[in-house]
Amino acid sequence: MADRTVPHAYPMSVNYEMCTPARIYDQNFAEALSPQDLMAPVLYHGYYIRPRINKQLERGFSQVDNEDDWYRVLLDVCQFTPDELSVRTVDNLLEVTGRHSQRVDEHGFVSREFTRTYILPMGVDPLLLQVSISHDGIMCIQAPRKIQDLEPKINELKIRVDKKGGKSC
Amino acid sequence: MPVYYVDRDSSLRAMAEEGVTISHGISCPARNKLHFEKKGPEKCTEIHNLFALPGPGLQELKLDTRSSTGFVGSGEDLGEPLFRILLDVTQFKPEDILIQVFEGWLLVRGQHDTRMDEHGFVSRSFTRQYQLPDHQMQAGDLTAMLCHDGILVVETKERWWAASD
Repeated sequence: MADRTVPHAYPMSVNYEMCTPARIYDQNFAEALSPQDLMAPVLYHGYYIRPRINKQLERGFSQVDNEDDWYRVLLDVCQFTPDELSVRTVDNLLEVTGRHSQRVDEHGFVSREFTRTYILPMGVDPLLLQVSISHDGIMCIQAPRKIQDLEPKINELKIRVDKKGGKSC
Repeated sequence: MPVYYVDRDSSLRAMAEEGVTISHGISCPARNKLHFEKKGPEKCTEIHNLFALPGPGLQELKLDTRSSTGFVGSGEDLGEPLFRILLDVTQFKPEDILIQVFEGWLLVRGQHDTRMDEHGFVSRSFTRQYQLPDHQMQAGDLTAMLCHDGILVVETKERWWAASD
């Protein structure tokens, strides 16, 4: 069997591995199903999966775009309304919290709560973060990212040569 | 697919005798490609753990085929439960889930503490309530099962059989 790479146990930054996926799914949780929603199991890449009728494939994601001059987080929060969400930063951590009290859906009553923490990379000022929610329930958190400041500042010092021998320090 | 196991082997052998090349309909998991390149897929046919198949899921198979007609179960007809709920708890471990029955209501709670994933740290909790059909129903009348694909099934032990058959 081929060797596998083991990720570092204690990641130092968000780029702890080059292969960190930009987009992960299955962020919507506690979804009730009815038996009609599940179709017969099929074999997919060696595992059984049960396809769902009403599963929206491109929903329930969390996406981190770490571009050159922008840092952007997209998070699907369609299970929550904007007043049930709060976003705050603690040092270089970005915390998104959602909590909704008991509400009725077609299966019964449900209440949910989640907290998701992102690690801001170098050069992102937490005070410049902007949060917006689109009409289809996708939260967008973005901030400009400074990259030129991360380069070392080089300052060449001029050496002055004293010609006169009178003054000595 | 597991239904065809017995017949498939004999038909594979027959096809191999005829000199027909068989390629699998399912693409091989990427982590096993190297293994198959070295040995060839025909020699690996007996190593089932390469595919990490979950355990026999006949009970689960039966759950999904309520509406389909063609499926034949393994043995006796177990009937339909009086009450059944399905809940997607992919993000939770079995020990994170608590199921309670209280005065005709079924409470399902799930909570997991902060854990690390690809984008940082996350913690979640939820509470779901369902009304049971019978107010006198106790927790002992229900069975719960967590399928390998993260779907929690809670149903009554009591069964009924449709009048048509």
